[in-house]
Amino acid sequence: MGISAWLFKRRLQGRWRVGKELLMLTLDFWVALYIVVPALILIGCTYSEWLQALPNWYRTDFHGMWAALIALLVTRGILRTYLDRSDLVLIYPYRQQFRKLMAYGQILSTFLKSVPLLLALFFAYPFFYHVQSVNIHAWLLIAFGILIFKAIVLQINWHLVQHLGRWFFRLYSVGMFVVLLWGWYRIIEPYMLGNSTIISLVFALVIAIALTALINCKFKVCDWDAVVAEEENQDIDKMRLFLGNAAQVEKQGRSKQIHIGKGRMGIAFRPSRVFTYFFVKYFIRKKQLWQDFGQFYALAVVVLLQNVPFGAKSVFMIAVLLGMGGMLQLYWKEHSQDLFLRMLPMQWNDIQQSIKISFYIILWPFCLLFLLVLPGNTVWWQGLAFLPGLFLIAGLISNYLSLKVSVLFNYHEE
Amino acid sequence: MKPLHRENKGYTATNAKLTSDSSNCLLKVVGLEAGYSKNKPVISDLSLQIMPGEVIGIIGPNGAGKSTTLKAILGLIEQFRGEVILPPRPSGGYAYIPELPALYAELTLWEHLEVTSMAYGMDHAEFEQRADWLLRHFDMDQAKYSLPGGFSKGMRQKVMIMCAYLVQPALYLVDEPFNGLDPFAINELLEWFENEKARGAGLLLSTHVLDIAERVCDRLILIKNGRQVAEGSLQQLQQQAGMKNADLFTVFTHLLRR
Repeated sequence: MGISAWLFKRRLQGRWRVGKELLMLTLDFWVALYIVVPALILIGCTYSEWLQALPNWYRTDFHGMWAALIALLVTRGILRTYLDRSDLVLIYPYRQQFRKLMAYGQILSTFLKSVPLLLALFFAYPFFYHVQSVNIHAWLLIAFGILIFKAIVLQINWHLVQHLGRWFFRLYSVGMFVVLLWGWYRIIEPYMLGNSTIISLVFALVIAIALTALINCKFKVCDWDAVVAEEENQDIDKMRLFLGNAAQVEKQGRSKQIHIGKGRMGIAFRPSRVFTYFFVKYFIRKKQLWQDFGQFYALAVVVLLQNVPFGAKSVFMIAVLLGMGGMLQLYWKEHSQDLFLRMLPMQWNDIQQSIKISFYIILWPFCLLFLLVLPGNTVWWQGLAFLPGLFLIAGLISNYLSLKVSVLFNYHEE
Repeated sequence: MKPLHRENKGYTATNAKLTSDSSNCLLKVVGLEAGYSKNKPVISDLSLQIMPGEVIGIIGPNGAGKSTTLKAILGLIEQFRGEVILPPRPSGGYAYIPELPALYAELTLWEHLEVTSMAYGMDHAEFEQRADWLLRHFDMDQAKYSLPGGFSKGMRQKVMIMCAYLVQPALYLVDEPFNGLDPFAINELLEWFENEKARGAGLLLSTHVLDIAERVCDRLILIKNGRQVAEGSLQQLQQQAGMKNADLFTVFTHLLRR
């Protein structure tokens, strides 16, 4: 195996370990059982129903949206190279190896960035099958052509983003979107409907490839440091929840070789977000909480839909918000010992922040129920005007009660 | 002047242009203009050459373009004009040691050395022998299988030096080598410079630590706003400044204010 392939393999292994760790953090047996598996079954069943017949809610007016969505998904995205700053120091002098390493990264990135487009093409097929009688062979050919376009656009975007200013790049993206949309109606759709041959599609691809070659030639990389910095930024953007790999955890195995600890993959998690996730996961399994808060939500729906004066509805909503806040506070108190032991060591600020978010999660969706007041109501604007106030009240309740609750977790840190 | 793209082809096509004095120079830079935008080049009209066993220091205030000069020589930023000739790999090639050590988070120290040797195409038996010697010499054998996450700045710098030294290049390009190092580490680094100089390697240092530059550099290039202000040995710079026996710091401030 060549140096670039070996290095890229190690890089992928490292990234895979991090990805797996993140997946395991969010996906456990219960989440898989109650959310992921049912969702997959639901998607499978729905898709097979769509293949049998168009869903009732689908109107032919919606059909243009697919072209816009596919054009948008083709336009968006910038190719990644997965280059590391160390590559510039250790590999860059050996230009052939460096180019290979970058090419591996770009190929991987092309595949990964094409996944949303691939999904869109997959889900679009039943609609095109029923509305425009497109057969599977034609659709596969079109999908393949669109995926090649996506790879070309990714290449072009990567070159241009390094040379154009932010606004010029956005302008270019809009232009590219319009061109792709035009291409859909002038080249792809006539082919789908049997009004043109595949030659026009191939011709468009050849032009696009020639354009890419020209852009590759004219817009060469002028600052490799910036390319690597952009890679780092993309990683940071992707892992907004995390702080980077400064806190690398090392472990010594039996072989005396030191490796990255499995526990956290060297990633320092932002604690407040992790605590929020943990709290939500903890409380979501408490059946009592579902029953109690579910009753409040159901009661609110009934009251808001009844012919009750607007003022009474408003007072009711505020009262229920206070009641729910108080109840959540009691829950926290009840479970504080259990939670406390699971979260040591911790920073009080992180805990306080995450408790506040857990209050928001319960109270803010409740405020949205007030939208039920609006339909068919002559004074609907009153409801709309009161909604921000309701959110504000929910926020204030959350802030106050979360502070009271977090005191339970305040311990003297030595 | 036709721009030279960095292909590390060495002395083949451009060798004819070299004068007899510079025929065995390790690095030749002529009229280099480079930067991030063609309208605003960061460095302009820079020329220098390094002979075997010579240590050249690029000195200048913050933002003068020292690091950019090294990046332009390496080809990491676009060269608009000028010519750069680096030693080809058969003659030893070159190695770059950046200001901030750049190490792979997922590779151990040994693997870093392995990557360097693989990229250079070194024979495996020779690599193992030399790498073992390097680990002992730099007192890093304990960290052989450690990931660099827990390394101190000095240790990380050592890894960079070891990777560079492993292939024994003809030319070293070193960016701000003394930043963040303690006196012992600086001393070790200076000893290493001396050894490499004795071996016949050329060193191009970019630094603003003037007292050390005065000690180790045979010639100094003073740059300001990307332009070469003065060039020569300390004595020559003293003459240019009209300050006989003055130290580099005094000469530096005088020449830059002029």
